[in-house]
Order: sequence, then C-alpha cells, then structure tokens
Amino acid sequence: MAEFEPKIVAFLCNWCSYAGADLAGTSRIQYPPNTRNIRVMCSSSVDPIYILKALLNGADGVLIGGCHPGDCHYVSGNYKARRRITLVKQILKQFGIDEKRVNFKFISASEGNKFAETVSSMVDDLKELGPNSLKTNWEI
Amino acid sequence: MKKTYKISARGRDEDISSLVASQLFTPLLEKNLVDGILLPRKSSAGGIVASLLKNPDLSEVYFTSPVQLVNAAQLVSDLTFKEPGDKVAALLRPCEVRALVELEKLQQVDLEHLLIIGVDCLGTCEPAEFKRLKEEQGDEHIAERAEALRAGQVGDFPRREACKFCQDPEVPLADINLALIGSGKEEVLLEARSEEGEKFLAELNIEEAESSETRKELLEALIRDNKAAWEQELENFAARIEDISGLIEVLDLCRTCFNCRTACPICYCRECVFTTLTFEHEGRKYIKWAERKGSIKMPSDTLLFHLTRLNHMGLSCIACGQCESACPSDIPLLKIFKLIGERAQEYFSYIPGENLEEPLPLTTYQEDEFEPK
Repeated sequence: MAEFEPKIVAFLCNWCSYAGADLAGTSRIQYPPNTRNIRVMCSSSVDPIYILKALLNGADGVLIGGCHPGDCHYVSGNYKARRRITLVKQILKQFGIDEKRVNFKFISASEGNKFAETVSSMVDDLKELGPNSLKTNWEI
Repeated sequence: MKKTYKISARGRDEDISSLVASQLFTPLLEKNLVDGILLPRKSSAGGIVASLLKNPDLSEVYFTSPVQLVNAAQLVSDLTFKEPGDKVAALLRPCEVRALVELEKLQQVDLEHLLIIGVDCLGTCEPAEFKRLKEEQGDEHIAERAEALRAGQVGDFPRREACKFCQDPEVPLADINLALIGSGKEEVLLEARSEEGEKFLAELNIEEAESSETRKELLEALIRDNKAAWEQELENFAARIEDISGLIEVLDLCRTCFNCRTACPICYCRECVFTTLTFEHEGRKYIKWAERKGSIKMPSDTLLFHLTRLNHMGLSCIACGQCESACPSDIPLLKIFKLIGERAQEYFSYIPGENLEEPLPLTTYQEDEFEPK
C-alpha cells in the first residue's frame, strides 16, 4: 500500500504568507505537494468554522499563515488570529484531536524557505499522527 | 458599595411576591421612575411567563418564579437594542445578569437605559416539571419555593440540570438586589449595588436595615454543595467526551433543530451562518459526499454545528443551560458546554459574566503570548 499522504488545507494571508508560498514556488524550493492553498485577505478572517469544516470533511491538517507581529496589513489581525486559533486548538484538544492538526505560523512574503520548511515538518507530523479518523466517519 | 434596605410586611398578611410588588415595583411605576418592568407574571392558564409590565396594578407577579422559559437577558436585548426608552427595569436572576454582562460586551444591550433588579436564585425547574407540580399542588409549591429561597434551602424541588451545578446563587452586579437568601420572616432585604440603585431606593423611601447575619454562610453552603455535585458529575462525564468519537456518540440523537442556538442568550447573530446559503447545497453535492464516505448523515454537519457554536460562544458561556432545556433529544448540552467552555475560559484567564470592564478574550491580545511567537 502506498504511504499515507496527508492532505493539508492551507489558509494563507494575502499580504505575507501567500506571497511567501509564491516565492517558494518561483524560487523552485522543493517541498511536499500536500497543501491545498486558499488565499484569504487576513489570517484573522479565518473563522473557526473554516478550520472545523476542513477537518470534519477529511483534511488531515489545517495550516494558517499570517504576517509576523507588527507586519499585519490590518494592524492587529495576526494577533487576533493567534488567539482565535489557540481557542480552536484548545477546544479540539479536549476532544482528543491532536493540536498538531491545526498549525498557525507567521510567514512573511520573503520567507519562501520558511513556508517550505513549515509544510515539510507539518507533513512529517501528520504522517506520524496518521489519517484523520473523521475522514471515513459518516455519522457527523 | 452595598447598603442594605428592608421591605417588611409589618403584620400584614402578604406573601413576599405581593410584598415586593406593592412596595417596590408599583411605586417604581406610579412615580414614573421607569417606563416599565420586565418580570415574571402568572398567565391566565396558570403558567408563569416573562412580561413587560406598565400598569402599576401588579397582581400575580412572581419574582421568585420556579420556572424560567427564556434567559431574560435576551429580552433585555429586545428592549434596549434599538431606541430604548428612558429607563426600563428588569428583574433578573444571576444567570440572566451574567448573560447580560456578556451581551453588553457584544454590544447587544444598552445598560444606560436599564435598571437591573437582581434576585437570588436556587434554580428553576423544567417547564414540564412545573406543569406537573401545578397539576398536583396548585399554586402551593410556588409559595413553598419562595420560603425555601429565604431559608437558602434547595430541598427536593426539581431543578434543571444547569441549576444543580450552578455556583452563582446571587447576581454578580445590579442596581438593586433582592437579597432573599437570609432575609428574616415577613421581610425582604434589598441591597443597593450601585449609586443609581441607592438613588432609586431613597426616592421610594425604603428604610435602611442591617444586613443579614446568615446570608454569607448560606450562600457559601449553596456554592459548596453545587460545586461538589458538578465535580462528581464530571467524574463520569468528562471521560465520555475525551475522544471525538465519544462526542459523536453523545450527539447521536441531535436533530439539528437549532433550538439550542435559539435558546442561547449569548448566540446573538441575527443571521447564523448555519441557516444561510452557505449551507444550502445542490443535491448532487450531497450525492458526491455520500459517495466519498459510502453514506452521510442527513441533515449533515451536526458535529460541525456544535463545534462551531462552542468556538463562537464558548468563552462567553455562562452555563445557564437553556440550550439543554430546549433540546428535544435530551442531549447533555449543558454539561458539554460548561465543561469545555470553563476549560477554555480558564486557558484565557477569563470569567464570563463577572466584570463589565474585562474585555472579551477574542477582542484583545498581548504581543507576547501563545504560539507562534
């Protein structure tokens, strides 16, 4: 059987992380092709429901990329996103869903390398965790 | 600031509800100090329902109503959200004031135009239980209930699940508080909890009094008992939902009616995402999803709904348990939301419903906290 390849839904901020992902591509940095990238205007626009819907519909992990502290295009969206995502992780953890399935990272437009590294290490983590059990559960 | 006042029967044969009505509520209306009073009143069919009173003839009002059909914080929102009058008074229980505090932070109520009259509470029963008691005992249990409240004794009166575990028998804040627990015979002690409250009580010529000697002890005992009950309940329940499959099992009979959301005083969105076009899909989409998993539950997204609600309002959940009372499938929603909510609140060092000055955790931040840094 082929090795388990985790699926990651990545919500990337328009101003930083999406450009960072783009840079990883244009710089031809090699990284695993496991993410499905979705461009959002700000990491703080990622409502918990997006993260939950992805996980409940079979994504093995969700990556959210935002600007570094102080760099947010909307001043403090990244800080607020950090609290909101901390809450999602905290709640999911209580139901036995590993915190590593939800990953928030600050990735700037110049950090193509960091984006590639983030995806690589997340794929490794998810491979270790195994597939998301909700993927096959029809009763949810 | 906590000045104590007293309303007493002075030998007249009045139950405490009519006592408070005649000496507090009626004068408030007669002297035009408030535009109206929101409080429980007996309906002609014998139920006790929230009502907005304008007529100073306040017969059949029950400020110690043993049943609570809605969390009245929702009603205060209706009364003050848009073009409030000068001043409206609302008689509120602890869980209602706590919800009100959260709604104020969510900008859903206007406290400027509200006179909060708090009242002690030992719990309310489910409407079905109330109906049974009414059929068996007539109105007797209502008076009995009020007496038990004065004595701070829970007794064997049926209580809603939330009330069994409630650790807030008194309101966190108010203008005037009806400090019933520990009040002596034929009297009701009042506390002025704000300058405004003091002003109103002075205007009504209500006499000052000594505070109750037994109140503090009685409150502490009530809190201790209910806390112990909650801890005991958790021993069985917490392990049941430690795993997501456990939660799915607990939610098994959910019919996705959204009653819990409607009954929730914190869930204030005029348009909830779950009833928007976002969740209206083409038929072929369902078929595709079913194809992927072999089958899907219909209506779908039950787990998503509850998890999303936990994330949206969990930090503000004051555990009033209206969600569970409204559930037609008897899902232990109060326990789920209280358990998960309290843990999340602790994580953010936030206590909902206590302090108007403390911002909602998700509306604020510190530069150096949590991950990533």
